[in-house]
Amino acid sequence: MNVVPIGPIHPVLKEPIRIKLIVEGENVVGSELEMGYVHRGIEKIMEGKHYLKGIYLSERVCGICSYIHTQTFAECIEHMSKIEVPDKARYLRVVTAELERIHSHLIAAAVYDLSIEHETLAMWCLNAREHVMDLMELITGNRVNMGFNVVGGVRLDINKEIIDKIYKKINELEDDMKNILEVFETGPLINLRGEGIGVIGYREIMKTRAVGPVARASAMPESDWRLRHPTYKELKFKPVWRDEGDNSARMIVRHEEVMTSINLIRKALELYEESSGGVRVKVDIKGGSGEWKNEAPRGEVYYKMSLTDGGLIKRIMIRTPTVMNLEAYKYMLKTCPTVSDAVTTYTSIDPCVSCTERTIVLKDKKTGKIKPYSFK
Amino acid sequence: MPMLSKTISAKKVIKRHFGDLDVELSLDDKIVKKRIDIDSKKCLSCNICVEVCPINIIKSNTPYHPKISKEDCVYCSTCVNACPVNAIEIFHIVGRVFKGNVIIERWNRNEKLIYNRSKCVSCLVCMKNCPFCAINKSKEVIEFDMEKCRLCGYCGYLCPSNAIDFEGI
Amino acid sequence: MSSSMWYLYEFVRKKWIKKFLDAKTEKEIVIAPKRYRKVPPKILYPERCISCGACEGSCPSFAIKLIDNKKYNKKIPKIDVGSCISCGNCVESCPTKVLEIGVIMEETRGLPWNIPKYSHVIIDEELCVNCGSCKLVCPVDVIEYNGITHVIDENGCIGCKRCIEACPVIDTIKTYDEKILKEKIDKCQYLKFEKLLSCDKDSSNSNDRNLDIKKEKGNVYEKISEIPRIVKSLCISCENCVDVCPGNIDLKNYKVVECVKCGDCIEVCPTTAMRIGEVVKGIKLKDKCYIIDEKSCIGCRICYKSCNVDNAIFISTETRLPYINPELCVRCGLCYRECPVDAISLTNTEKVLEIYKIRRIKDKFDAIIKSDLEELSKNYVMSKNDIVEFAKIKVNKEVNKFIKYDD
Repeated sequence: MNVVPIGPIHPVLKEPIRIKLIVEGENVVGSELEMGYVHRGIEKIMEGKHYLKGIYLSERVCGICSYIHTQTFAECIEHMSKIEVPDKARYLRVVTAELERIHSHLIAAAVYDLSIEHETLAMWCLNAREHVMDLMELITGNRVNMGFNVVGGVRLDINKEIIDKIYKKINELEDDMKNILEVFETGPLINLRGEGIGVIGYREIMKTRAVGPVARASAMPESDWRLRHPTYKELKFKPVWRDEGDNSARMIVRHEEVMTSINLIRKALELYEESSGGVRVKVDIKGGSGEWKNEAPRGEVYYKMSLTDGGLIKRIMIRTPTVMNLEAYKYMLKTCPTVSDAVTTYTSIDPCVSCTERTIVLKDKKTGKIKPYSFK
Repeated sequence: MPMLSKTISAKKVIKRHFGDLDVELSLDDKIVKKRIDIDSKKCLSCNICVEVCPINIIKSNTPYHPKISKEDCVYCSTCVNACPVNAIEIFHIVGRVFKGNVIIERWNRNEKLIYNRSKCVSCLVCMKNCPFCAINKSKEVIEFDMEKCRLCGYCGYLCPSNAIDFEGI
Repeated sequence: MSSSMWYLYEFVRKKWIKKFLDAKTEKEIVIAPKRYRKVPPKILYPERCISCGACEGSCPSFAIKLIDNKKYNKKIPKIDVGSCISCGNCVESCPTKVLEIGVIMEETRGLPWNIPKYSHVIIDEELCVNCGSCKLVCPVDVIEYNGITHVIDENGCIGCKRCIEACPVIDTIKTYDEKILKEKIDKCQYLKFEKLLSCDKDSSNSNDRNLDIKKEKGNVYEKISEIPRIVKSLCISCENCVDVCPGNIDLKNYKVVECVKCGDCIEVCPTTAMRIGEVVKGIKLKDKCYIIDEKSCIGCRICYKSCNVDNAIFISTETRLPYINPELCVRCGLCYRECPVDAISLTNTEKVLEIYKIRRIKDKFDAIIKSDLEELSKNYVMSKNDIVEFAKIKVNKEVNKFIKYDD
């Protein structure tokens, strides 16, 4: 039995993780994942800080889906203290979150395309993504770590000029995406690398509790938390799903979700133009603890926190989607004939390692006894 | 001179409030009780008293002795003086508080009227109620017509500020 | 020929040499979009700055420091470009609108927002004398009187700590910052974890919170003399005490329900809201004290009514004018501010103490005589009634003796 180690530093991996592939000849029979290279202890740093400072730390949990973390953080506190967010702010949050989803999915698509050696398509994806980044800068003022969300609303309002620009760019993006999707679905080489590889069925998904596009590609549309979000209910959101459960199904789900996101942005902007009022309310934070879940581009992101009366964070727990998706990776490997397919499968679950590494274990110095970190 | 003079110590009552403090209390207020009686054995039923009574409160009750309505009597002693056999008797019991003692005196009739002008509030209750119209008011000063006055003591009983006082034998 | 002519022409053209020299150094001018947040924030109006330090406290990445500026003769924020994350907290928290980043200040001017801080201030209701000195100096008007004590609005406070300087009583306004809170939370976690481990050791008694078993283990819990109380105004409901308490604390009603006197809650409280024993009012200004000038005083007693310290101002029975007790006066200056004729001024404490002693002895003497007289007159009235009753009884007895004839 031979072991092929990949990482922690390797050209195919965007972030440091160690994958040990157990191979018999060319066939992959098992794998071991080793993490812990980029653990930053963000929850520990947040303890004792004001919530308006903590929201920037939560933004830095993930480099790609930074916005959804601030939104979940803010909505968690709003849920705890029963704060009514103005309509305009809610729709702006949807617009920004969906733009971020598009940008994240396009990156995932590009990385996957690179790993199947289809660089042209990857460049197309990245090219389309650039316009989305421009839009985010236009709305929020920054490109990645936007600092746009605050508890009780959003920082800035947009105007007619910006709305027109968004419509214009989104229309262009839709044309681009239709082209990319057509190529992805019909390209023979792409399908050769994707179809029937890295298959995970419905039952295994239930075992591993995988979330996000991974679960939706295996016939689990209800795993989308946007179905349970009050604002998305207004927008009559319907999730995209497939039942093949292989690599190309996951990627097609992502591509189609980009189209859904574009439609959601259009709807949200329409509703935004109808609504009036400010984008932010003054909040009064009450102490206590609560939790909130949201749908990040990769799946469900979960926040649980307890605050003091003035809004100082006492304790916080974050769970990011990739933890569960990495577990599913083990099952996908069974249908990977080669090592390069294993790598492709790894990129197809769109892992985000930095935001995954957030386990806290209590360890007694004297006895070496280990206790799980309990929130309460 | 009063006929009976008795001194009863009130130290127990004072001690109840002041404890061991050596206190001698004197009060201006007098407690006066009067009584008029007809001796039925001596009475001749001559009805002279009925005739002389200035306020007509003695009613003849022949062949028995006349009856006096005690509530209305002003104790003017007219009937006592007129009775030929001294069958009518009046006595006053007066209690005074002086230096921690209660002094009880008894006299038969008033001898002297003492009018204290500084205590008088000029309410004119005495003038309105005098049975013999012996009190007059002239220039905000009350004057007693001693010829009309029979020293009955009714004004002393009525006076709200104790300005009229009597001494007796 | 013509080409050489063209070269010649190009050479003699205006600014050609300059253009040639600058060819590599001239940057391509990129006009950033209007909403783009340039790093770091601009200091737009330095003359407006009040050196409160709100921006310094609000910065999540510790990029701002207040540095003395000779030109404006005050402290002005200096922003470290490397650390700035262009979040805009400093722009929003600035009370006088000095800073600007992107278009945040322009667009959100006048909107209400909460201000993040590094160090927080909180008023102790047991020590506060409600003089309102803090309210006067607050630059953002967030201190209000709620009927019992003065309260700082946690959301609007900018953490400039001017109220601490203005407060006449030592330690009335307490501070706690991120560092202290973090230490206390760590300590709380450590204690809680220790307890969890000790519960594991005797797994048969794993139903913890059983006080009897813990008491039997030795009297380690009787560390403090009495059951601690919770000061309502200081509590920020961080629930550190609830986490470490082996008994039961009802934080909603600010009550300690069950207590084994372990003293852990006092250790982990970040704002000293858990307390045992009496608190003593320490006075900052001991050498000086307020004095009431009896010549100009009109005897309106506004000072006497406004003073919130018990027994700090008395009314003399001799002159009918107020005088101050320098031993209890906290020098808050409330009477000084309230006085309508400016009769109150600040002098040495000894002088005030002298006057106070004279007045106080006279007052006490008067009070004794007055109380004695009151008692005597009360007794006189009572005994008079009794004696008259007594005399009446005696007189009636005497009358009965003389009755000869029954009706």
